[in-house]
Amino acid sequence: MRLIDKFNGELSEGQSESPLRQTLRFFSSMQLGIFLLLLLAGISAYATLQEMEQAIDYIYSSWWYLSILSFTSLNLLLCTVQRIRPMLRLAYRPSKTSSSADIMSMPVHREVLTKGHPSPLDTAAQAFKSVGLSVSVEDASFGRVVFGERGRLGYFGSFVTHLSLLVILLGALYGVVTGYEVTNGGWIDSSFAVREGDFAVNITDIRMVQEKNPVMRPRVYTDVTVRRGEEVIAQDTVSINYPVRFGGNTIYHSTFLLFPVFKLTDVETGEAGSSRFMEGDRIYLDAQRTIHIEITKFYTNFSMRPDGTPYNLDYRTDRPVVGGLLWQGRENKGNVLLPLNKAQVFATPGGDVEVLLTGYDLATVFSVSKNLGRPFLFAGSVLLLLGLYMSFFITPERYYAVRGEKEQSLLIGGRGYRSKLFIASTLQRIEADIKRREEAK
Amino acid sequence: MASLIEVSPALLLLENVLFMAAALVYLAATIGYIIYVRGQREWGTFSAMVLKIAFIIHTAFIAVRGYNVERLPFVGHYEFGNLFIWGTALVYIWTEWRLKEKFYAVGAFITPLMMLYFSYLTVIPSVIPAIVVSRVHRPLPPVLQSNWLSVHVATSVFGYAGFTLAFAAAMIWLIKHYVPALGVLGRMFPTHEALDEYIYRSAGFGFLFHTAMIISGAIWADISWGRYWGWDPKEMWSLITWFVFAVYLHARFTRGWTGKRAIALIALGWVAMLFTWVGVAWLLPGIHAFG
Repeated sequence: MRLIDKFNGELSEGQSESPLRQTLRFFSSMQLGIFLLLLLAGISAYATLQEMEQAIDYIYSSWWYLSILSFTSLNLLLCTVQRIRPMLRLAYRPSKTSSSADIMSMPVHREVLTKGHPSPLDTAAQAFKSVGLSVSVEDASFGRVVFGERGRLGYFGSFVTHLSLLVILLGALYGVVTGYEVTNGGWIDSSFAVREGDFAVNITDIRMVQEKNPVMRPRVYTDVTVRRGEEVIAQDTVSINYPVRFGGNTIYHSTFLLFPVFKLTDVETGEAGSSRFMEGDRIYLDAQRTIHIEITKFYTNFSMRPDGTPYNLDYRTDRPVVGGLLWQGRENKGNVLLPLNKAQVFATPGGDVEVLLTGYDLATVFSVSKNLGRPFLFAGSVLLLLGLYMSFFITPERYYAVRGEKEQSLLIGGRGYRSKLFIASTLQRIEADIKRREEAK
Repeated sequence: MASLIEVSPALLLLENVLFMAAALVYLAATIGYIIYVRGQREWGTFSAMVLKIAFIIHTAFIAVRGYNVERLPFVGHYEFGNLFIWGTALVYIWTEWRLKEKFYAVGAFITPLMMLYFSYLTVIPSVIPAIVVSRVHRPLPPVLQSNWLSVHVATSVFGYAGFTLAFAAAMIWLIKHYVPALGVLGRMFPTHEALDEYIYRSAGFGFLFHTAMIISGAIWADISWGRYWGWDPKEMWSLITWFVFAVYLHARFTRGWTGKRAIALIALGWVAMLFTWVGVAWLLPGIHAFG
């Protein structure tokens, strides 16, 4: 509570503010908060105009951007601390008595004429209850006061909201400090090690399942077995939107790739070898590397437009063809199309070489990460929504009723935390209820 | 690649007719509300009724579109745009029901904004060829096949709707402030104080849903892509919009900003929201380019 006292302690006459208190006031000020938020908005808007990778490297990860974020967090923390005591006072120690002069000064008030009932304040209390207020009758020096209130939780809305943002920031920080993120992958029966998590992932199977409409990118299911040493610690199937989670680690499907497999045969000697290639790779046809095919595109369901441009009909794998460029030194010798199981022979200085597309291998790329901040992020998000709901959907309202100055009159008034419209509408309902009850008598 | 779902000509016709009918009846409501604020009080209730009819037709359109695409029609500019207009109408109708005829004048400003959004789906693409709002019936790609899609889109629709409502009321505030001799218009408009609270409540409503949209998007991104936040332009502009409205709500609540400065923030927030929806898609495409 000392920090809270630093903010809220009253200064005695002639006492000057200490430097610590001045500093705390500055860092907790709303002006600073507003300035920092606008600054973050402005810089972020500028950053979106840059290339995304550049913005991440030079703006979002820069010391000065992170400093602004840190100052905003500090401001948030101090604002939250500063708010505790006034908020508790406001919520739990309301002034339950108001004189007629006080009520007349309220933003919404009314004078209701009663028909001389001996206890019009009882009628007011009943009317208060009828609109859902919790009611108490207080004795003040100037007479009895009917007090009604509702929506007390609304006072805590902004506190919960600020606290939740701190929890989210803390969770994000904890996740960054204690976690890791790597990208890796492979094809069937291959493995890769995740040193950061001290485990290895073995891909046991990859299945590509076409969507109902094959023009949509297919779904790829990858069976993985995760081992730590000899022990199997997880075994499941990964696909898009369905990651595998174990011990705080998560394996996500990032994308899939198709690798054409070529068999190269020396026509003269019959010597042959097979290799996987990917788009952008070069297939060297001679030992001196003077002639090569540059793979430009792997068409899984090849077709050709009337102008001779090749394209993929859809994601089916009915007609695999590899498109490429044949290079001799730096000279482009033209386009080549290498369909499945149709060998083509190329002349090289070392003799003829037969190139045959024998098939393709499916590979999956994963994003593997560990984020221990996840529970904090989740709890913070729930708190944030709760806080905003409390702020904007629960309106604290307080109402007072006293005997009016005029004979047989009742003075009622209301005060809200953020609302005048609702106060006016509730007061209207209270007035109508009082009149109805008086008429009934 | 053609990527059509087979739709029967009758259902396609029904979908298009309902779309056009909804747009026309919304236009009729717009005209009605404008006549109302020009002093013809009896047009208020009538326009409110016409708006409800337009909303029902629009609901039917969304249902038929959903049937035709064999999924919730939540994807792409055309479907999201329609949902956004529908959500704005729903939220406005709800406020009208809560506040009765006191705020009919807001109708004269919210419906033109809805027509502006309609123009993005119809007229603007024909004038600016670079903007393509495709009506093609597409199936969902695997990355979007998630229950989080509905939560993410629904919350964004209500977030945007709240911000649009706040902006509509802010325009009335500005007119009231800068045009001293409003004559009959002045009598039809709510007071500055009432408008200020209306703006605050609408912005608060929008802010809650906008926050829920960002959170649901982050959770979904974590499930799909393995990270909560990717600094993608769409994510960043959603955050910028959030920052601007956060500034407004703080300034309004704690510092009592209710005048021109508050209105300026609302207008800035609305522009940021519009840029998040439309501008980012055409000027700063990123991984959110589904539509």
